[in-house]
Amino acid sequence: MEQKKVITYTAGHASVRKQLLLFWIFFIIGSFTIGGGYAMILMMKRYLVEQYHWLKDDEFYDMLAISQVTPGPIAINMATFVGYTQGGVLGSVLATLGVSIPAVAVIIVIAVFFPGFKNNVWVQRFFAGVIVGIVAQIATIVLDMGKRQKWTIVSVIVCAGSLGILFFVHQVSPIWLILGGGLVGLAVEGFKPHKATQATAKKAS
Amino acid sequence: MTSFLALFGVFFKIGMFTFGGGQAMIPLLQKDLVANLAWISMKEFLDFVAVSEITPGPVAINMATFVGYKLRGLAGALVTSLGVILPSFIIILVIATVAHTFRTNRWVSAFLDGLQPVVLALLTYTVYSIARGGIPAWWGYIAALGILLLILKYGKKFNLFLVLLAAGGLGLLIFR
Repeated sequence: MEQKKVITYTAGHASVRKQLLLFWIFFIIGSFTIGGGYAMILMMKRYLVEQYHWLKDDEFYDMLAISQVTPGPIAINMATFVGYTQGGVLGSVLATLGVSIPAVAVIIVIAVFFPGFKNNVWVQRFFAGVIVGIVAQIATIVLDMGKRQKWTIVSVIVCAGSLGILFFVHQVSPIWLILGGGLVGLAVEGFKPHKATQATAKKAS
Repeated sequence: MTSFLALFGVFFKIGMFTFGGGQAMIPLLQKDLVANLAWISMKEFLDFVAVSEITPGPVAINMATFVGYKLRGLAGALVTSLGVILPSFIIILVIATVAHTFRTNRWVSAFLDGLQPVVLALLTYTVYSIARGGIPAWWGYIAALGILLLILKYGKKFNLFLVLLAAGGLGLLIFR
């Protein structure tokens, strides 16, 4: 059971077909992500965990957490990470390009041909509708994560505390919350006898 | 005329030092592009942000493409987009090469476990802020709840892209 927690990958051993598939999957995800990188998390999970079984649940959420602690757009971080673990350096380049190309292309098309794009009332209505769908999809991920989370007194306090800070203290950079959460994790580990830790880790997986 | 090197440099720097995703870049971009460098006006900046938020792809890349294109055309757009992507790419590549040891180290594992509830809180807040900023009427919230229930009930059978397209179609009908 411990095995499950380890991020394993086949970097460098991926077939050409898999690498093209990586490009394609991230291209599709990049083409449909409106409202920033968070919106694509559910789609990524569908493809990577549920459809292709390249990643396990735990690995996916680990990568998501790491993508939040590192600088840059979450979408790019996830694409590079998944691309590398599934297809080596070439895989990471392809996945990153895949997720980026739609964003670049659509803006160039708009800048060249449709400068009045955002003022069109139909465009506005359509995208307001899309946002409704995006909200539902991110909420799905929230519920999924909440179900998987090992709820202890500490994790409840950390989660509720972070929410409180996000809602009531404006202008706080997420990085401080994330680092704070990590430090709490370290502190909990530090106060635990080693054997107990292994038992919890086993139970978790 | 703005040099390619300057374009690349500004976006590389922003990509390098912005934590918390592309949305967190917007205030930094404004400070650099509008206030410090005066490459674009405040009105242009706000227009770019508005379009970036309703077009596919990470907002940061949309913004970079916009500014690059405005200042130096197609080549400029590629230079700025590459600039904003590269820091993430390089940093993650370095991390990914050692990632297989992540969960074998007790402390790293504890650190990651500590992050998860915060990530959960951030996502919850994101749902709230996107809904508040982007859903124009109360029946939009009802529709979102309906879609959520459908995904939960029939989840694996749904094509998520079609869900978004259908939601867009619904938007054409119900939002005024």
